Amino acid sequence: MSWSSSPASSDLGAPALALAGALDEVFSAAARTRLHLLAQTARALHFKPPIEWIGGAAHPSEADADLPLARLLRYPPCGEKRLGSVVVVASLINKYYVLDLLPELSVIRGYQERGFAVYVLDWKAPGSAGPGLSLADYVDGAIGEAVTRATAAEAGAPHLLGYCMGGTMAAMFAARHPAAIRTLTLLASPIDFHASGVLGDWTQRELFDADLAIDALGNMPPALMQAGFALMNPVELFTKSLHTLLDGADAERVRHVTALEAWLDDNIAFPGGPYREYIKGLYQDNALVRGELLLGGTKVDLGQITVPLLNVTATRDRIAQPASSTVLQDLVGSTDRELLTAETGHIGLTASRRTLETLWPQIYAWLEARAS
Amino acid sequence: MAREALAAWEKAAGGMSESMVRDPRVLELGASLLQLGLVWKKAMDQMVALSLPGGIPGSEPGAGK
Repeated sequence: MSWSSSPASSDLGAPALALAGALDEVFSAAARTRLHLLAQTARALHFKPPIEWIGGAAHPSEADADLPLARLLRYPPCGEKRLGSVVVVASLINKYYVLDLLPELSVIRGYQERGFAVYVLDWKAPGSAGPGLSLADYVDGAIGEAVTRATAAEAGAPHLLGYCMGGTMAAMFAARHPAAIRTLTLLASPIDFHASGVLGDWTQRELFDADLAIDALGNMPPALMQAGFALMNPVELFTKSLHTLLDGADAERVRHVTALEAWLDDNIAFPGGPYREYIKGLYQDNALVRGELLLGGTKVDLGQITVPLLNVTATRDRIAQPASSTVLQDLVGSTDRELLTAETGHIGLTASRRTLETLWPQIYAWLEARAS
Repeated sequence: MAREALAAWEKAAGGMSESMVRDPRVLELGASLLQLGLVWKKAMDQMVALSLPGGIPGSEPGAGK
């Protein structure tokens, strides 16, 4: 079966979708301002000086290319050592900079310091093009272009790293183009969607009509997805601010929480066409794990993944429960495959000081051993 | 003391809310409300499109491509 996307079918029209994209940016900026006001209030309550304004990625990058669906950014390696390049694929709805959140909390920086050039796909808001796009446009198109450019610029195939939904797409790319990359690293990436957790429950075919949603909305707006994520644990909605006020004396904690919450509120719409494919093909039919998912008319066979694989899961992940990712170990053709599990949550995997100190040295070492 | 009480409340309330959002009756209610909202939104868009001569600019199939 195929989940190829239909043309733009929303009655909203192109101008309304473009306006919706612009409004998303306004809401993100407003949320960031609100979070900083909360942070400064917390600091003032404890008679402490305010924290600095925190916005976007912590370290500078170079614009490598302006692709149709994403800006390709390049973080150059630090020092003289050169170990090739890593292409990073983040979720379509989140900004990539959770991997470069603060100067002291940056997964990307770790790769740079070890001699890797890091290429990042910074997804663009889909706007009026969203309903007419397909997952293949992202997997074969955007990821393919990033890999091609990294290969040419760094003299050798890159290592591919995907986080969350970006990992699912990276796995699809690795299955379709195994010769184009050197290794595959997946972080909290669902493969068996019927084991993914509460999102799987909410998107059952009997409960949720993805076609109706995209027909009505064009793209899936961030506000609706945010509401869904918030409902996973509504209590946190009330207690997050309270904790910030109580912890106001701890500047590091306030900075961390502000940066993370601002990132959580900085989303782009899920493009309508890929959304239909993702919900129907993956969450409802679980077609990827069964080898039945069609991308651009051909099946995605995870057995075609032959490069070394590092699969990282988080025990308290509510979005991609470990069982939804670990199944990949038995599906791939790679003989070199490793599984790491961390005692943390979905976001803690990349944006937690403790994880950065305990888990990430293992992830870096795994790649260094295969890059030398 | 206050922090401990807050942590205990969070744990208990978090557990309750997590089981609530997976309750089949709650899921059905939420799904129905969402569906109603989407159908309403689609109907309103169609009404607006019909009321404008030539429809909403750019809303013809494939216009967003």
